[in-house]
Amino acid sequence: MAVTIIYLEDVTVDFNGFKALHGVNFFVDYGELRVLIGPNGAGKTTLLDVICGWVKPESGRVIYGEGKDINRLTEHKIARLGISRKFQTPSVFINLTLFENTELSLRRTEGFWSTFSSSLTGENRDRIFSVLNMIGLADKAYERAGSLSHGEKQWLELGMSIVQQPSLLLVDEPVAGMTGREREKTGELLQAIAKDRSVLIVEHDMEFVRQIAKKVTVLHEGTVLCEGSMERVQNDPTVIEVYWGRGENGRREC
Amino acid sequence: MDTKTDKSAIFKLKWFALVMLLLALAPFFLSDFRLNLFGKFLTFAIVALGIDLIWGYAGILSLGHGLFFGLGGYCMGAYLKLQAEELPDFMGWSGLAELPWFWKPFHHSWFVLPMTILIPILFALLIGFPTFRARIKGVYFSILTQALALIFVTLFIGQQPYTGGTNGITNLQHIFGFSLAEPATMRGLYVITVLMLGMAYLLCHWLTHTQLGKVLVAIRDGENRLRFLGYNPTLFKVLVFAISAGLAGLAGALFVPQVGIISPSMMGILPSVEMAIWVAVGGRTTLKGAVIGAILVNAAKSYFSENFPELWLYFLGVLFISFVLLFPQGIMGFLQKGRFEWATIILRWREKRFAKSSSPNGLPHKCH
Repeated sequence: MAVTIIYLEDVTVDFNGFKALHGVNFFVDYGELRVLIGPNGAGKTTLLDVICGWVKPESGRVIYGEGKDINRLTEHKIARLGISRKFQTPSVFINLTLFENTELSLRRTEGFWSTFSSSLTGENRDRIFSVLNMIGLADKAYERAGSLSHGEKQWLELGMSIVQQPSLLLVDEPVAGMTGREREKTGELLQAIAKDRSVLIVEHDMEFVRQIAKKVTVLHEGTVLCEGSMERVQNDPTVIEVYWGRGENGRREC
Repeated sequence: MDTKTDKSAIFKLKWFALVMLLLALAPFFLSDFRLNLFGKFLTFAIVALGIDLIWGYAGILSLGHGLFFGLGGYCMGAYLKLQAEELPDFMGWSGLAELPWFWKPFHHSWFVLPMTILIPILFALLIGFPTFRARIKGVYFSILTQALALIFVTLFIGQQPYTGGTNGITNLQHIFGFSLAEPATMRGLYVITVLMLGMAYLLCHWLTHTQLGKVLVAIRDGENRLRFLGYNPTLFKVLVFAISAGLAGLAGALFVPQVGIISPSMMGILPSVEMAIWVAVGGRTTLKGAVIGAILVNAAKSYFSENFPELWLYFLGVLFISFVLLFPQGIMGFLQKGRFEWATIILRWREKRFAKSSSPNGLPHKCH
């Protein structure tokens, strides 16, 4: 039986009167790769923001792992619990090398005093290089991250996440602005990453979603509209209406 | 890779030792007056190191470091004053008959010497922690530090019986029993300043070459990313703020015996802004640049003020503006970029010459 890693219970987020999330109930299992889809303004990114602590919900609970309420924790504490967030726009440290970027990420898992040391164990060096190999950027290890292309920056950022070996990885639109070949590689990378952990992806690109998704959740106007396999979701009349027709009865159960 | 870093570290250490030696030999070349002036510049260089750490590396512009410099200076000033007089003269003028309780510990050098650094650090912690925790940053932080400098100047002027008011603490005569009027004492103070600058440099060099240096750069370039990696930026920002405040306090304490006065005008907004300018001119994120900037700007300042007493402020203004426009990365940035550009210019020139010599008519040379 599958065990839940993250559980949002009746979560409501209010941005000055605009309900970005409206009583959302949502959960992801251990080892699951889940994709969140939905039209613009459906609350997909806000949902990720709530999980990683960037946005604090008005009401509701966020339960991580075996019953830990992470609602009131700051971002860095949530990150230390093993929830890693990858934002939509690439945000790597452009003045550090790829190796240093990854090292910085790995070092955090070793505690505060590791910051005052400059030596690195051979084991950690190997871990950094195995991650750089995985994202296919090992030959650029000593180049400044600022010199990377858009797609490469996104991969580096994914690498910075996996080197910490998170239990749950949140990814926001990983293939936005990528070329066809880059999309393919990103899809393979995410599937490899998902072998050992839960991954929650927000994505607009339906073709890409079809490539990677097993289970899809559709958000619409701050509520969960529908959940299931890609095939089932695609053929659901309400979802079709929301995406194409924007029908009045968009909240009908599916 | 590792052996390469080791080699360059030794190479850098040699340079460091050479510069330290030259600085230590300066008393043999400079007149007493110039030496005293240069010693003052070197204390400023210590402040600049601290500002470079927080501004150049961590990207946090403090425009209130005069406050920390002043706190260190006032600690030293209070100690030297009590060496000269049982009851400081300004207290007598203001009608105080007895030394206030918080002045009493300043009789003892074992208390004063650590306090010149610890009091600025303490203030930086008190200010920094709530500020950085509330995620106040950028220009808002700069304005806040300016306001703090202003508040303290007003406070020190207003509390004349306890601080000496606008005049500050003057008439300082002895330090550890040596007369401040003696050139030998000045030379001794100069050498101590050189040593302290060297230690401050090594400290900053070490800090920036551990993982901390990378964390600071990461705070500058993407604080939120760092947060989501599990780092707590607040902790590191408070830490670097405190270290740079401590360095400024140390500089203030070295400055006062060499100049013989500390007054509120040395801790206000104007000197604080000047301190940031030293670093901007020298070049941010290079420790060498901070030291060079502090010395050069102050040398230019005294040169202009000696030779063009009426115009020197304008010259200085023009100098700053042209620096900001022409060399936004400062002297070190210009040299580093310059080295690269010069190399390409020479390379292109040689390519051209080679092309010319191989085919006199300017067309590509063909092999038969």
